Amino acid sequence: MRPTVGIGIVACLGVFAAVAASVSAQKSPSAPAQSTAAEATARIAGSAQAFLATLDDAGRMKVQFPFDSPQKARWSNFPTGIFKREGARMGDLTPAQRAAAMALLATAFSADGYRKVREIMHGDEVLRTGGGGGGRVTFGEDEYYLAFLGTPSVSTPWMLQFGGHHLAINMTLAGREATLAPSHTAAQPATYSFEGRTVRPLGDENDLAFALMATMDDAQRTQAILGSTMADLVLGPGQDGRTIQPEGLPASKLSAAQQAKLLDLVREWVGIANDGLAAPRMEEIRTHLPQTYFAWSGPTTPGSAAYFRIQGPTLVIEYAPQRGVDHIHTMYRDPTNDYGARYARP
Amino acid sequence: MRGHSGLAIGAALALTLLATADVFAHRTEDYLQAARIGVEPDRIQITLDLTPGTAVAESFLAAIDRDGDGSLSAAEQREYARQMVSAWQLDLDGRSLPTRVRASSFPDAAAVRRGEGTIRLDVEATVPDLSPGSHRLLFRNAHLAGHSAYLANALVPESDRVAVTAQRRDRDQSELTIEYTMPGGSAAASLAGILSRLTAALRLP
Repeated sequence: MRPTVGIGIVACLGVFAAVAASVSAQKSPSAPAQSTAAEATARIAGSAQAFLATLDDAGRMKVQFPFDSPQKARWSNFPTGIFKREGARMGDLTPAQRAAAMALLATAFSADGYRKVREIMHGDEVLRTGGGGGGRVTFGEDEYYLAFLGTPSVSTPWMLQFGGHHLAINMTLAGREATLAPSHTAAQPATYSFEGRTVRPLGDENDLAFALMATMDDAQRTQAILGSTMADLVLGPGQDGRTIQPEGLPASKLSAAQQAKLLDLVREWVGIANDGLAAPRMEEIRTHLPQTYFAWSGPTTPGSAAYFRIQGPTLVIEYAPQRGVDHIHTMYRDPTNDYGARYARP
Repeated sequence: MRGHSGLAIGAALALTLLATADVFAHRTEDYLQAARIGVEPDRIQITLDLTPGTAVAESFLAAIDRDGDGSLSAAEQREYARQMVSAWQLDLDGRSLPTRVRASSFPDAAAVRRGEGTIRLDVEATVPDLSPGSHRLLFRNAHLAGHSAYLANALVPESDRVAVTAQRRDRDQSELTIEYTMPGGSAAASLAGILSRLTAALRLP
């Protein structure tokens, strides 16, 4: 996309300064208290507008959709070549535009959330450099798309959509309120090395779940474990608007320490969002904890491939290994607020 | 627009693959059949999504496209939907419930070949007047048995007159039993329900 050069450079510099401050603030222990939801939304809207300023008219046309456009539900776990995405393709952006796009993501997401998204994208680059793809299928970090539904705003609802193979982040913002539902994270390979360190994009989700299972007594496990195999996500892509019957162990039968572990696990998804947006959402989920269920399918020995689901009145999380531990699909939904259904329309 | 240098990013990353050569291991050689079952006071609603893997796409399309003209006509779609439903068993309290296909959607052949084509059937069964108390719905899917992975789940009922109390599945989820209650159940009504199921069971071969 050909940039409006002067505006683009200035916008990028501004974005980088804002993002640096934002990421730095999020690493501070007291950051959540300092960062209100409304402030977070304002920063994200500002970053989005800065990104838009780097684009020409044609580029902006490509990235912007009406808020209630069908584009909202057009996301997938599949790679390019199987599923066609709309929006700004990372590989088509200039370095300055791409930097502004990534700066927006760093503002919208927490430090951990941004790391997770980058690691999922790196994982797809691993597939590409490892000889994956071929034919119609294309992998790699260039194959991720950014789109806006509605106009980035500090008050009226709009949506930031970022996704590609194994990633679909649908963040709807409306002033003080925001939701990541529905969002899909996944990983293949689930473990790879990068700059000399081992990377597991969804490793914490896996480890925290097995750690929770390890604390359960026989009676709790009996109730939590479903007696059937789980071939895939139940509420994955294309399953909007459905609410399945909760199953498994009610969180009310967990000890306080176990409930804390369950919330730590939930935070792996909720906490992808900027801390200012994630904190009120975690509080909402904590409030519904007595009506929340934890279900498990598969072995309980760490390192095994096991499915789990966390479901409450406003929450569905699924973690579904795909025939082994090196290919994981996950889903995060809010049956009451997917795509910000609760928010007033612009 | 101009292309971004994917090569430069690749070199900078210096990534090393630890995993095995299981590249793009999405489902390929079998079918995923996912059933969501809504239990309401007067009806049972079943939505079934059938997604063929890429490796079985051609044989799957050929099985539907009986005249081999390359397109899936309305008649061919209806016939395939009929075949699918005929391989189901739906029993309420031990008695078979007749089903009817309310709607179906078939993807185009290209989507099936890409592995993202899903056939969706919306099927409904009318529930006769039920006594208050406990009831048991059995759904069994034998379509493409041996070549399918199954998911089966009860939906949260739309009506507050129905409460799902348990779901039991076989190992591969080709079979799901949903236990539910209707309000107003008394001990006598529950007993009547049990007797009704027992009577129905005794009628079975």
